[in-house]
Amino acid sequence: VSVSEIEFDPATGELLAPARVVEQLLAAARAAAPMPAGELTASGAVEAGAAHPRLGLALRIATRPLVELRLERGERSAAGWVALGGSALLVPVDDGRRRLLTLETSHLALALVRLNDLGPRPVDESRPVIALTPADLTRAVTARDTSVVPQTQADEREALGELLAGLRARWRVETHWTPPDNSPGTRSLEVLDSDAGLWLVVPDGPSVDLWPTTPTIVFRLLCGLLPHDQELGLFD
Amino acid sequence: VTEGRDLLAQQLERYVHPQLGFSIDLAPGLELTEDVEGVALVAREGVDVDGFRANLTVVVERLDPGTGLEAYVDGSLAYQGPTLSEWRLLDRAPAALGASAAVRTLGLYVYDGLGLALEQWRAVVDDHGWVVSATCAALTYPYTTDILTLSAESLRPATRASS
Repeated sequence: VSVSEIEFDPATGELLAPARVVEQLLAAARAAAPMPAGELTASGAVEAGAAHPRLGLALRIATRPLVELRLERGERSAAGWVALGGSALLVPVDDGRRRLLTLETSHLALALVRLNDLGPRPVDESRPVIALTPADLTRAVTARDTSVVPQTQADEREALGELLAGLRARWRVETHWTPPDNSPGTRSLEVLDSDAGLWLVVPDGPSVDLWPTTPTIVFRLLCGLLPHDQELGLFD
Repeated sequence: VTEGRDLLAQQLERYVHPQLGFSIDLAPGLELTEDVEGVALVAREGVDVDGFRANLTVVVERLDPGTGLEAYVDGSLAYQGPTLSEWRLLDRAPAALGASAAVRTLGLYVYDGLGLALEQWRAVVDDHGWVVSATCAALTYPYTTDILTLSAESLRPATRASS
């Protein structure tokens, strides 16, 4: 790893580094071990074996979170963490490196919206619900193949065709936390984002239903992925 | 869902603006202010949630004669966007304010370090633009939007016929 592959902004605490380096940092933070020095020291991310205070905050949040987030968008994946002192995100950038940053938890909704490019989309209330097996959904999305819906279901097949013709992304956000008795400890949201509109991917027994939806409902569900204070056992 | 909305609606109390004559149904206990320049009504929650007091405002503005609803919304958003830090529009959809066709928008921005959700309803009545804005801490949106939406959509703009 060359120094130029690692960039650290001491003002914001934002670190841009190869995935392997970020994993080393996280592993050291989890083990309360000295930070890996050489490559990171020149960037200012590590000083005398310790993380820069702004980077240290991100590492504390990431290694001792109340809530973990897993984000998938096509082939790309990212992670997030929420703690009492703030939130952190670890996201891929186009050159293959990872960006580790902290943010106020109140900005998390905006960050998730941006990462998933949520914005106005057409809403056609006549769109039907489309039921598929998970395997057929994957085939439809990867091959832009509408034949997974039988020809006898003309409306569903046409709607799937419009969805796939304008498909921007398939994305998913999951949250996980250590639950007290009254909480599932996890929630998820999966969306197909198309120029033809937004669709929720809703598990239904052995199949999945694609439900036409709106950006407002997706935003509401996105915010609702985080647990209540009571679900975290904070105010029992 | 309908039952839940009905129960929420039963909690609201009718407010009538003393000068402008419009009415809107509001949750009891809100702090009401009628003397903010350029804003006909500010109704704020009494307590902070996530560092912010959710609120609802009503703005009435005179428009150029003949201004249509979509043009009004376009112009209003074009003005508003650059004035709000990190503004991002999420949704824009048809709605109604009383008997008037309206457009509902939802967006996010940052104010005073807080991420906020701003949902707005705009209508044009008798060459006046009406804007009802509901603002809350972004992550509280799922828990505040139902009652704020009920309030916002209860607005009955004053018309020439009613004033």
